[in-house]
Amino acid sequence: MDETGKKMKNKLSILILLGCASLSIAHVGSLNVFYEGKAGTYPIRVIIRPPGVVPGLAEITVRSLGKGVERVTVQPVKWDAGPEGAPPPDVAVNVSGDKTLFSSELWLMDFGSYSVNVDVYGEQGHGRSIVPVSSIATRKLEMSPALKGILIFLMIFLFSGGITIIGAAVRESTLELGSKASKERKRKSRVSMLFGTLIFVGLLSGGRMWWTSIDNEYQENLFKPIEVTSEVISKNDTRILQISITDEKWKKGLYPPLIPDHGKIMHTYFMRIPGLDAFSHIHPVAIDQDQNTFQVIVPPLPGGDFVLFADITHESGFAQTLIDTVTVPEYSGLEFLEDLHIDRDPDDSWKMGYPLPDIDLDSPVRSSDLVNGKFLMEWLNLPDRIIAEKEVELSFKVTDITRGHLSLEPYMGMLSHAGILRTDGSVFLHLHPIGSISMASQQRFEQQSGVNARIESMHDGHMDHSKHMGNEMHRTSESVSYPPIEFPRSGQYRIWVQVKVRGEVLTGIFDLYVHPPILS
Amino acid sequence: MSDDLNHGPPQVSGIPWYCYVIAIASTCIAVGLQWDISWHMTIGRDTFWTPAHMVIYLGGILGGVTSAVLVFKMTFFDKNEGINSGVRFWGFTGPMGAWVCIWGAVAMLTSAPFDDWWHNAYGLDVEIISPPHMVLAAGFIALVFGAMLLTLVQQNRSNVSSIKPFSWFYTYTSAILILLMVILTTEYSFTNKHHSLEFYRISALAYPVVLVAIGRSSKLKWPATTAALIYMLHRCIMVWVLPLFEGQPLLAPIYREVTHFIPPPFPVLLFIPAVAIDLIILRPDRMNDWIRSLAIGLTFVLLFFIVHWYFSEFLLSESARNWFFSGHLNKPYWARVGPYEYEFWEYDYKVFGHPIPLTPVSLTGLFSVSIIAAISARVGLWWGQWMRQAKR
Repeated sequence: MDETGKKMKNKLSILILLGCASLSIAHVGSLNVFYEGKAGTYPIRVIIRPPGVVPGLAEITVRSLGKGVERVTVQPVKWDAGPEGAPPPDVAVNVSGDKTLFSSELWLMDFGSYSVNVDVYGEQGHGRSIVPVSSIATRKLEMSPALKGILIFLMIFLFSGGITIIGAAVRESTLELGSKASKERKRKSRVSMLFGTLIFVGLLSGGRMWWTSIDNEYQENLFKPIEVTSEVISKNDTRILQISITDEKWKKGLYPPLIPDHGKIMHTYFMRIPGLDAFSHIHPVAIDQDQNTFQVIVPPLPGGDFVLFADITHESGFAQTLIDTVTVPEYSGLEFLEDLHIDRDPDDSWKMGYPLPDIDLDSPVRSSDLVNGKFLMEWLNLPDRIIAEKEVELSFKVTDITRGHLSLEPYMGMLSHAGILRTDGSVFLHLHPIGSISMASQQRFEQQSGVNARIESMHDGHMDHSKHMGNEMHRTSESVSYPPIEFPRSGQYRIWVQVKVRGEVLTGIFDLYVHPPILS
Repeated sequence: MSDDLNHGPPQVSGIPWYCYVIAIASTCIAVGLQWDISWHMTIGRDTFWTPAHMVIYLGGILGGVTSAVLVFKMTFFDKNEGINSGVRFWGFTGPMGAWVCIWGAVAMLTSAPFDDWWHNAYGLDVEIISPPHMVLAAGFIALVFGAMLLTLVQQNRSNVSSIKPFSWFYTYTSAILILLMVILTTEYSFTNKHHSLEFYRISALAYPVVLVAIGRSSKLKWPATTAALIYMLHRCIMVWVLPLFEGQPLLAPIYREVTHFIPPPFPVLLFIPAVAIDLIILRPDRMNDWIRSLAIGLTFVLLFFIVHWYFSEFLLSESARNWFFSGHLNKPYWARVGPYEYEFWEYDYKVFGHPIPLTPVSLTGLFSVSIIAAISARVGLWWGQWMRQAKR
């Protein structure tokens, strides 16, 4: 590869490519669910790969991160049917050669919000983790050339065979035994074959039209996130981002209302395009009872075109990401927050970084210092080459260059938050140390099942997230681990990793190139 | 020019082995299909290796292999018989029914990879009526039709003393064909739709053609009625036997308690219009077939409508909630419990939840349905006439 080829000259065209992001649930561009937590006393890691069609078969793998696990079962539960409407659990089979890995298949038969009960049995008794998963249709499968060839061959055989049978039936089937077909019969036979051909062609054409109409209906019903429109309004010289839901299904009440996820009704990643230099993680609030309009004070960042990815969770446990772009006026340098009808959320955070760099494919990750040389964030166990669809460890260590020891503090109940964006906007993931699930969704299902249910603490509307602070096995006071994730597609990505140190939210930026999967 | 006749009248001695085999093959297909549907409604979880699938495959293999054996025998080992009583096809010779069976078996085979791809592309068995399922349906209908032809030619070649067993074989396989039509129209024939025109329209299209063809071609005394009664008995046995076996849903969501296999709905009462069809077809006068079709169409719809309008009310009532009619047992695990189960529906719902209004029954609607039934009957007369003469 020449020098030019090694450089990714990728300057964002998110505005054009946002169409690719239409397949978004709690994330964009990937349905896979990553979860790391404890089932009772057993630390486990769960990956669910939904099929993208409904009804369909999802794959689930459960890895024991500790010792003593003997048996794992998995059980899908649909939100409106509850545990009593769940089938008996399936035993996840131990993958040969790896005593810690168990796998099974999950049948997701209906559209909507499901949870999976992962029950672990072993030396320390029984424990359960509940992992939410959304069942939606997102993909259209193309037929492979080989299958197409086989089916065309069989169709030609059936077509010509059928016509031959019609001709033979007219020519010979009613002949007395031992007699031969007359010329008249043979002529009738040919005519009937002609009619037979017309009938078969008609049937095939009708079948094709029918197939096309089914396909069109299927395409129309592929999952699309709730439609929103965004604008930035100015009040008291302060820029306010307003997100309005315009979706007809939402307005007709076909979606259940929204519930807060770790205390916020909406978690929004808001970045300037195309350079992704200005970054913010903000939390719009509903300003009406029907949850149609949401507002948030825009952080003191420069103006320009911005893209937003807003995570929401419904009462059913269904989580999805709303997507839009909006133009933000230039920052005047002044903000008058006192007289506004909304407050700046103390958990809002932002960072003015630097534009997307050219990525050297042979040196996959480029990281930033956190705060002007004061703190450093390091990606631990970084592989030489990051490959799409292959698990990648996401562990980060924060170092205080000037003062030595530091201790990470909870930020919105989590040890860390990460946003992962493919630079064309077609992939977006919002991760926590427990994985990619919506915790509100998990808590909803835990309460429904009555197992290990956590009750929201009443003070300040925040939940108890002690269980979500990260994997104890891999966490020190200076580092944080996420469950290994898979990048669904090759290309250039930017990752923002956020931690809190001494009351201050720090944002690390990593630019990387993900290589295409290696075909075996 | 008439066909040359080189030999004397045919002699049929004994019942050929393949008559039994293809009757068993047809039965396997019908039983397997109903079992499979019950499996989907009860257990839900589906693999290639479910017992119901195995029974269907067994039917396909028995029919296909038997036909292939007949063809090979006629082509390579008994050429004289092939020339005298076979039908030529791409250089091979075999009985007409064998060719149709083989075509059906290949169509069933074709549907397998197509259906598998369809599941992956659009989701598992969302509807009974889907393109790959229609290829499969064409396959098993052809296979059963081939079985009918194999027994029919034996009936048509027989003299008076030996004709009866073949007529029974033929009428039995014909009854299986009626059963297949009933299975195919399941989604349009739920009892809750019996006060809507759609049910009568699909019935007028599907049933007269088969009943009339049987009526014209079988040599039994009451052929259409007999076939309709055999079909009913077959269906009733499934209604009564399936709930005797325990079964539990293995897929979520489960909206009702299911502990035993779900039976199919109680069969539609085809024997009543079938009696009328037999009477009209067997009329000794020389009625024109077009007029005969019209008479059959009108009579079929009139009787079928009156019977089912009231019988469906009974089936939805508490009186039918017993083992015999299974009015309370035939809902799948995914159907929510509610009063709608015992009401007549005004809407149908497509896969993606769009409601489609059902058409109320009206006099003009029934008249249009009668025309459909008459056309169906006319095709049945043509078809039956051809089958009546089939010898090979």
